[in-house]
Amino acid sequence: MIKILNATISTQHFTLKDFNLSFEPFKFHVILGPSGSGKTLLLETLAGLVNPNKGEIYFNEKRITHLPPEKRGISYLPQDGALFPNMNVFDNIAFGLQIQKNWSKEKIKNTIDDISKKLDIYHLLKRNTFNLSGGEQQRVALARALVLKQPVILLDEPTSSLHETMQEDFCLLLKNIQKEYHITFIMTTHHKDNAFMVADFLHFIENGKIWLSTEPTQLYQQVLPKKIAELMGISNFFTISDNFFCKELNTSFTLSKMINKSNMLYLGVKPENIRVIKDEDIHKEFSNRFVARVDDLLHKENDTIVILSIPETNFKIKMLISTYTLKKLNIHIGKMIHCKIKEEHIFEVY
Amino acid sequence: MTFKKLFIISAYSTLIIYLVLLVSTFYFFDSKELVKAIFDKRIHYAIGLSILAASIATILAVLISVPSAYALSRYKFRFKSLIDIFLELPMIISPAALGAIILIFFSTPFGMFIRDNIIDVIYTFYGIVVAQFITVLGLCTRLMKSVFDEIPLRYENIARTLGASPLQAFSHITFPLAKKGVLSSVILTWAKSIGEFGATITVAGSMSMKTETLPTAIFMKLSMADIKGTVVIILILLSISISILILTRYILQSKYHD
Repeated sequence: MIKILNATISTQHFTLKDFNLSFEPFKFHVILGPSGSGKTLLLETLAGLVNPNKGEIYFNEKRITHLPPEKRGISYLPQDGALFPNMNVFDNIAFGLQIQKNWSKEKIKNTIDDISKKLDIYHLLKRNTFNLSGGEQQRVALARALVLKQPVILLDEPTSSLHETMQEDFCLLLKNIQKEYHITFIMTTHHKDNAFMVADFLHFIENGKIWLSTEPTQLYQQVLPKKIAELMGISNFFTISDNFFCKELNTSFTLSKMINKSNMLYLGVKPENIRVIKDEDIHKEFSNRFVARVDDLLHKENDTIVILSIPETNFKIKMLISTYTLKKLNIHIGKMIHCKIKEEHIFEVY
Repeated sequence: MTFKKLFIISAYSTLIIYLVLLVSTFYFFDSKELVKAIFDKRIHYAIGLSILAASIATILAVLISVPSAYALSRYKFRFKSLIDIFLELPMIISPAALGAIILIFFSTPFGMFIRDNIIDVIYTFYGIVVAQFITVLGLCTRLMKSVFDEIPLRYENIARTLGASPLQAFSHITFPLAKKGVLSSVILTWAKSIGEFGATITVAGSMSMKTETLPTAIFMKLSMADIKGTVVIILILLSISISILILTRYILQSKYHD
């Protein structure tokens, strides 16, 4: 278990203040937050590359706050892998083993052969590092860390330099490796889909503060801080007062599973969870619906963001629908439409 | 005239200035003098002395400047900016003044103690080495520092997280990456040492077959109005220095083509 207790970490550009965070062992932890939120600084602190100004860090009950990086048993993969340019792929992976001096050449070769086959980089072992693709560099850097069998590996935005389709493959690889090697992975990302793909635990960071630590399945079972809700793509927020009436949307809601039992609820909805009610269904679906005017249309590759406004209140709300549906339902600027939000898609925020 | 042409002409003018100066020496060139110099023991001695003294001064400077340049490049510590200013001291004051400062130091009680008990540097071979060492130490450190500045710290950091100590990270990662830059700095330092005159003649004088280096020999020949003899030694020194510069350029080019 790694624990950060009341740590204040300052660099020239950023400060993490009174920081507390725990990482359960043998789990895949993801620190999710936007760029500039302090993710890399947090990893550098855990790796021992930056010392906290205040507070303590414990690793399995042992205080490691000022322990040098080489004595922590924590490997660190920076964004681009940072492969040593003066060595080929084999020597990069062998680096950590060679400096331990108790590894025979044959044992090192066998270990590297095994790991490189597993990560599909065996054919690259004799290559120089500068002509590897982003994905290959990441896999070599991962192999370099894995051969040491350190109990913790820190991964700083490992998918950021990869193409979208490769990101999924790399996430799958990371997840499988973490399970197989039974080690603790702590990964940072600003990409929520990647985070959900691999995480056993999600830690939301924003502006140098951890806002929420949770298992992904439990995320929507709790009242979310607004910043986290925004990070998860919830961009429509409104309030519901007595009798579940929403002034902004000028409609009443039917809500049975709210966590917060107060009279005033602050709620959020993702644009993709707002549905248009077809004309023929207007008289069938009565709950959680509202009427809005189409103000604007922003076309994306396959979808369209529809900017809606409520006539009585002029409250703006965003809806995301497929361009196919948009055309099929003949939605155009100025049209009045009926929309519906399912209860399970309404999130409580604070 | 276009902007581009004007600037290219300016670059050519640099070449012309140096070429005209070099070619002009051939006006007094005498092949018989060259043959005489080739077989002259005094010249042999001056060449050997120059190469030996410059090599020792360079080795001493490198031994100090590699760790100090690394420290200046990587760490924050007290008086760092003061050290940075002192690196330029040998470049901003005249070599003769620097030589005089060395002479004055060795005339103080502490300096006298060193001369009497450790090593005497006044008008000796060691004086040449000390004068050249003091002159090139700042330059060598400055060159080495820019080499280390160019190497990203993150490679060392990653090496540390892979279990390397600071010394192992330096010797396995940073130094191999800096190797070519360090080597070209060494060659430039050596070239500067071998051409050093002002401090050398002030501290060690220019005694034939004892403390006479190629630059001081040029001065001695010129002071005796032996123009043809001067030209021959200039050409010998030039051929040594130009060979060094070509070697440096070759190393630097291969560095960028890696």
